[in-house]
Amino acid sequence: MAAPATQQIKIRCNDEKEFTVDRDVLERSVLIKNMLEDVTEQQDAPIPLPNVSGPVMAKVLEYCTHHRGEPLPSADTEQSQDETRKRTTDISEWDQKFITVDQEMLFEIILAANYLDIKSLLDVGCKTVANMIKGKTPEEIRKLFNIVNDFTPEEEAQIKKENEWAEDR
Amino acid sequence: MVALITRLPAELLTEIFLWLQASYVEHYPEEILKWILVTHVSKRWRLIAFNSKELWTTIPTHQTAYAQLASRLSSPLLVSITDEHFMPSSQPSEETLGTFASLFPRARKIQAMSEIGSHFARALENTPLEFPRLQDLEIDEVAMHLTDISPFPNTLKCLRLSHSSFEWNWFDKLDRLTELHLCHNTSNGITVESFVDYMSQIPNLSHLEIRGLFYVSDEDSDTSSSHEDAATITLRHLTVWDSLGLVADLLSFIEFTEDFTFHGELGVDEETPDTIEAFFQEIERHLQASQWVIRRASLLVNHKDFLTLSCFDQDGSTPFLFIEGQEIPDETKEALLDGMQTISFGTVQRLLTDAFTDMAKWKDCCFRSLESLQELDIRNHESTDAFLRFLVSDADAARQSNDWNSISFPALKKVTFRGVQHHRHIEWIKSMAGVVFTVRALHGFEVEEFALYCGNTMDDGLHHLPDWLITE
Repeated sequence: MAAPATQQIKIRCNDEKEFTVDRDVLERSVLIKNMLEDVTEQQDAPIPLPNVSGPVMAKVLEYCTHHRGEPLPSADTEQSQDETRKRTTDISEWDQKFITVDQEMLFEIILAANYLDIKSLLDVGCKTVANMIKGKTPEEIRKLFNIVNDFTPEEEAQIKKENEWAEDR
Repeated sequence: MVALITRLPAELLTEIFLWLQASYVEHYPEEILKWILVTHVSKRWRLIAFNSKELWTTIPTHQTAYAQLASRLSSPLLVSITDEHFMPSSQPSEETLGTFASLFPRARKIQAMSEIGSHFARALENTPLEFPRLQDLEIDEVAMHLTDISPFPNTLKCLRLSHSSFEWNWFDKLDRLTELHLCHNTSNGITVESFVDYMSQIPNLSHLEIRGLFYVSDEDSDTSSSHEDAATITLRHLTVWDSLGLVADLLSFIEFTEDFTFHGELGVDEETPDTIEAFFQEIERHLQASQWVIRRASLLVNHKDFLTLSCFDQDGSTPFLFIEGQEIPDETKEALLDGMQTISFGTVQRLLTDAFTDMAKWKDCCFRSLESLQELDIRNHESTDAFLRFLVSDADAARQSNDWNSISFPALKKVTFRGVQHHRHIEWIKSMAGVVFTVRALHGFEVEEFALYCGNTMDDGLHHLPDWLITE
């Protein structure tokens, strides 16, 4: 039987930070949803989340609270979206504000969304990084993310040819 | 310092690259190949991209070297071959055509347009090509008669035919087809009834798009116009461009799924006051029959010659009626606004509009029966002015009669005014005792949001207004 919407669940992050959250908010995470469905009796012990820190979880919960009640993507929908490659790259105004964070937090949110299996949050994070990359040269991308150019001169020569493809229309 | 982005595993970088591709496709399709610049950033990024088959599934026709690389790196079974958005300056080389011919057996999607389109067409005529996995086919500008569909397997789910000529008796072979787009085709016109008859032979059709006139009306044909024995089609989505008159004729042959949506664009040259009137009458007929319910509507006419009407069902997330038109002659616009009066907007809870401008009888001119309206978003200064003038007189009348139930929008709770520019607007807002609003004023005064909860006396609500605004 479905649990009442007001049921409170406790979670514990890898820095021992604990949160007590409404079940429907936490169930935005497919990982936690599955965990809760596997537990038949009510448990008082907090659910351990060893891959997420307290500050990141606080952000994730802010997202989940805002989007509580929205339909979760079904496995079928996901598959058909991948098949048709119909991806809409727009990010809603609220999500844009939410994801305006420093790079460290941005990547932590993406990792947490991936671990917790929150598809919509993962999409928002990945779209944001894609938007940061878009329109930039490789050198500008390296500078943005502090990446070292480790290509050999031979590889550079091949890459130079491919640059022409990008310009070809 | 270690790059923070290196914390992301390969599959998440691939996901980001897919979004990058999608973003180019959506906003700058002519620059789609620019995504490849991410493979020039570092060895790790290049390796990840080259090992991600899903990044290479779209194979554009205009760049042979890229096409060859992509055909090698893509999934062995699923590719999309496209020349959409590209206008090759010369005919594709034999090498390019050879590359594509070898891809046809594993192509899931082919978009054959412009130059490639005619090569594709000739190949179909002369060579026994096979497309065992083809699900999505788009053919544009193919100057040929497609009299034989045997090259196309019944795996096709989506077919887009544009500027082509074809035989109508094709379609009953396409068992799995769910989506059909017919755009500016040059086939002989048929009656709507015959058209529906052909469409009804596609068992799984749910999404139909028609662009451009292709039919002759029943009146012009020799066919009897009796609809009693006519076939019907069940649709989930109907899009019609350039002819609202066609919609009026077509709707009576359509059965709708519960989540039916309609998208239409005015064909300015084709519409007449008669076709527009017929269209709105048909819409109203479905509203009256409770087949459709409007919860949210928007009407925009802000750029003089541009009009958009969109209506949404249920929670407002699904547009089920969307009409758009540009460069609309006055006569057509007048007919459209008259047409609005025939629609029952009694179920509309949210309305977005700028159409109150310069309309003496604005309320009757565009919408009637807005008794359920809870939220109103007024998009421009002129409409704000007109709307406030109306509300003031409405509130005055209610105050004088001491009958607050008689006000025009009894359910209205929130109004967004975009363009409060005059002090008189504030005075008017302040004078509307008895009206319960949350007012969000944008532009002009730099007010983000203020509340105006007026009970039966104005003073009840005034303390919610910023002091400076009250004293202005």
